[in-house]
Amino acid sequence: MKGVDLNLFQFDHDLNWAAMFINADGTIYGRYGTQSAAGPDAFNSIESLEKAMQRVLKLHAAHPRNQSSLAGKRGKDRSYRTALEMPGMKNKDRLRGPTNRGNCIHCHMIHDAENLHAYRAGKMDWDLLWRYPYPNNLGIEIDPDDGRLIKAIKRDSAAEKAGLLAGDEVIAVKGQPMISIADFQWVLHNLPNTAVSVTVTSKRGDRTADYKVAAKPGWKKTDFSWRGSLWAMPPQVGIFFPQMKPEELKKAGLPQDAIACRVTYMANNNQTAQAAKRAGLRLKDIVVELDGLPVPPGHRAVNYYIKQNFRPGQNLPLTVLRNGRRVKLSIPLHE
Amino acid sequence: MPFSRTLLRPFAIILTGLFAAAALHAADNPLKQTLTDMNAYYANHWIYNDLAAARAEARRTGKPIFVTFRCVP
Repeated sequence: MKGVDLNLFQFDHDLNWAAMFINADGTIYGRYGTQSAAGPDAFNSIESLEKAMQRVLKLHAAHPRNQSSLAGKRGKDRSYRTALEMPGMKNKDRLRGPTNRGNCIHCHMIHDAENLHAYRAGKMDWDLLWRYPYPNNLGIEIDPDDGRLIKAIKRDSAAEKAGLLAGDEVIAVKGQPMISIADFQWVLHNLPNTAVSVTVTSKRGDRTADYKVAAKPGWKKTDFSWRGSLWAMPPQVGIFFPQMKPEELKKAGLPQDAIACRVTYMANNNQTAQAAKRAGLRLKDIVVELDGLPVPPGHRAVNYYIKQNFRPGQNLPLTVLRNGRRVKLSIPLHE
Repeated sequence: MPFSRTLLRPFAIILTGLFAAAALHAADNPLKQTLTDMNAYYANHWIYNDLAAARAEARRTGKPIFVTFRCVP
């Protein structure tokens, strides 16, 4: 992302593949690319990319008459233009040099820098972390092979109450023409996590109508355990806890359906990992409880739980099995 | 379904690697050599890390620009 104009190219920077369609004058036609805990391509397909491109060509043909409806697709300008100007970007001197394998600025580092800056400014807020929520948060399941067609509406959801139906085609959200699920997410991303009403323009047969979808406070909450930016978010843990496989559980004398994680790595350059060593955590320890609860299944889930429930300066209670004995530990968490 | 080159024809297209400098010129851009995506490697219609060139191409041809951001192996 070195040198990329972050005012123009605002998208979900945790994606491992993303696309934006723009006019030569900088007008944004749309975004493509959606990732989730279900996998990097759970919402992507060649079919929906092709449809998104065909929709872009229609928008392009109508440009600049449609300029006002596209205005909201560009985000607000930030106080910085490039990654190296971001106040929360770490290791700027190293990153500033000629690009090579060791000093690349990965997409997710944009969100890393946003998170760190917010944390250091005392403005770390969960609402910042519910980035790019899915239409599913409103009860709308979009067909991933289409990008606009509603495959299903969740019962008792905000979308059902608004009158949307499976088979409807979402033409616009908040007045912005849709080319893909990512466009829908863009609108949702820029709404607050409070009670909101969002206008979904939908086509049913030959009829197009507006539906007011009213979401309740907290509607943006989304599983973000898949996000690359989760790892650098304070507190950084620096300990690798993969979930044990049934044969490993058996060898350790645990039931094969138990959930346990083994400590396989503690980073030398991570303060929490080093504090954990001093607090008594050892490689090969089997973590069975975390924060007084059964350990979440696997490294990603453990990290997600910690990020949601702890802040730097707090202590993380762990119960581990070592040589058949239960050992209780308290791990100081660092930024 | 294989991604069709015909589908790309209406677009001026730019490919931006996550670890490549934005100002590098396409001709000597190591990104193209680093990519293992054969679809991109054998295609001559991608512009690598050069938005100004893509904009100029879009103005010249009247096409919209398809910008992709991807991890590079």
